[in-house]
Amino acid sequence: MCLETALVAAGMNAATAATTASAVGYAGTAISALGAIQSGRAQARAAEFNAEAAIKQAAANEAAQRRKSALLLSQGRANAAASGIEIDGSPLEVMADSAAAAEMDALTIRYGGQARSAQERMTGRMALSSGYTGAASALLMGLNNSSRGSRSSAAAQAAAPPASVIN
Amino acid sequence: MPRIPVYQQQVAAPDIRVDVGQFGEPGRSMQRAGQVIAESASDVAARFKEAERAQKLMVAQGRMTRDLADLEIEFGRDTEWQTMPRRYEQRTRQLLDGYREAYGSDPVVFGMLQRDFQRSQLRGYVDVNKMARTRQVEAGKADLDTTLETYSQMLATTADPLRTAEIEGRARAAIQGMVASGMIGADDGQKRERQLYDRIAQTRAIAMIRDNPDEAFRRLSDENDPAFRRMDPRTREGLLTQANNRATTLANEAARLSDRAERHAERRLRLEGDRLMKDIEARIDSGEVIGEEELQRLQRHGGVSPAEMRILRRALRDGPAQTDPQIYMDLKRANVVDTPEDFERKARAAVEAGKLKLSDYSALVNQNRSDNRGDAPPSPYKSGRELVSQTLDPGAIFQGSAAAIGRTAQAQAIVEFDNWAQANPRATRAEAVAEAQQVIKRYQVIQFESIAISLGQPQFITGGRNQITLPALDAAEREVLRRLDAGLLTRAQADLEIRKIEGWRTIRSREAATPSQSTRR
Repeated sequence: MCLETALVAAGMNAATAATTASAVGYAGTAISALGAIQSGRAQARAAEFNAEAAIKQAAANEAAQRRKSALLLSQGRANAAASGIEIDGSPLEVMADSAAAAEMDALTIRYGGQARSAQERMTGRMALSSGYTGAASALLMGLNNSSRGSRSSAAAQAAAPPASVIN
Repeated sequence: MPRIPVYQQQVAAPDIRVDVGQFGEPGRSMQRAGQVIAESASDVAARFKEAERAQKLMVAQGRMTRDLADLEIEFGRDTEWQTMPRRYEQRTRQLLDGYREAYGSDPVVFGMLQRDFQRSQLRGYVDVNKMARTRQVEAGKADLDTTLETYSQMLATTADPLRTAEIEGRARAAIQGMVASGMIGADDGQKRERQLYDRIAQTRAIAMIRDNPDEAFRRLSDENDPAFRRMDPRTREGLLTQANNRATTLANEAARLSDRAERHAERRLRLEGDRLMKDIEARIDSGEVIGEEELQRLQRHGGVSPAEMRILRRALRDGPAQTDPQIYMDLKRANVVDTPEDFERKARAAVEAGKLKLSDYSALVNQNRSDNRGDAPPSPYKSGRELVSQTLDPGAIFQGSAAAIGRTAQAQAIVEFDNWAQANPRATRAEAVAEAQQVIKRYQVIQFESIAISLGQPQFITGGRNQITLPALDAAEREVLRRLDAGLLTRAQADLEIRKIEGWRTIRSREAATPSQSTRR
């Protein structure tokens, strides 16, 4: 192993080498934790971008829908006028229904954009949270590895006989 | 009707959203890299940590091994067997507390050390219990030995059969009690019982040797004597030698006393004879005539020698003489350089030649005897008898039949010399010694020169065999006894050394007694 060889080559005694290797291990753990946080943050930022994009996309689609529905209503009014139909009574109600339906479509598109944006933000928060959890996990794993010797000491103590065997 | 074209198909807004997951990829890569680094470093750190622990554990185990070894040595010398296990437990607990203080900061190291320590502690505890048991048995045996020694002394000094039976019963009960408690085996118990009887017999025999060695020798020689029937043959041989030595010592002492009395009587007789001679001589010198009856009475007196009587009769026949001054001065000088025999011979010749008055003769001879009194050798009889006795004494070299043969030859030789001495009461010392050497030649059955070759050198005499002198033997004997008292030699070792020393002492004494026959080795 490179690290071991390097420590031996540096002429360190066992205690100093163990301390140095532990320090390197803690550094690795810190890097791992930092990587997890970085990963979560990057994903959160990407999700935020997606959320913004979804709002903007929905707004554009809503505007397009409104324009489309306005055109259909105006065509209807033009056709009715060309055919000499009075725009009151039943034809007016029909046109009002069409306008209401068009408005509903536009609002549905906006709602769809908002929902997608919220979903993306939730994804971002989850990624951020996952990053912190991963960092915590890395730290715990590092501590666990460094305390491997202590675990064996506990086992040794468990194997040792009771304090006095003479009594 | 014409219709105005209407833009019906409007393009929808484009979907510009991005793949969110792709944006997390660089961070995830960084996370994976960090994980790899952390895991690798953790493995390396764990290995170094293990190495460090192994080193610590090795040091701790070394200390523990040393501590327990010291403890084992300490308890190996401990004699307080009653409290040994409890004190061992306390001491090991203190040691463990010390290890906890020194190594408790690393639970792994301390845990493993504690496990090893407790295994060793348990083993040590078992060993200490065994040691305590051994000490207990040793103490019990020592008590038993002391008790049996007391009983044996009591038995040796009592003649009452009831009292003897009671003490024997107590001694047997003490031994059986030890056997019943498991402190000694049944075989050991029987052995100690035999030793007890042996010791009793030995004590009785020693008392008898002290008071009546001849009787002791006779009874010890009789293997059916009830008092010594069960005695160990080697012990019996040793006691027979002691009895013989004691008898010889007493006989020598008696002979010495008898010799002293004899010499005293001789001296008194001689003085009386001298006085009578002096009186007669004065009367002859004054011209008085001495009657034959008086001369006969003087001749029968033991204090006047035939030579003196011859001088007296010659003086009576030739009349009073005058002393020649030159002869007188010559005799004065001869008194200093001549032996008493030579001096007397010269003085008698002067009297017979009529050149010395009888009164001057007596004065000179008495002066010569007085001057030589301090260097007077033993009587002729004693000189010859001691030579025979010492030369033929088998001493402590031989055992069994060889010793018996030697003693018989010695006794017969002494009897033969005594017979000769009785037949020759007026023999000179030179004649007695010559006869003694003839007797020795006839009775010497043991070649001491060969014995000296085969006899081992005493342990505490340094140098070669030519260093084995009587003073060196005395010093070696003192050293053996000192080491025996100090417990540096066992009884068996000391016995062997004393036997060798006794053997050499006999050889050297004999060589000193007969220098012409001796060959120093």
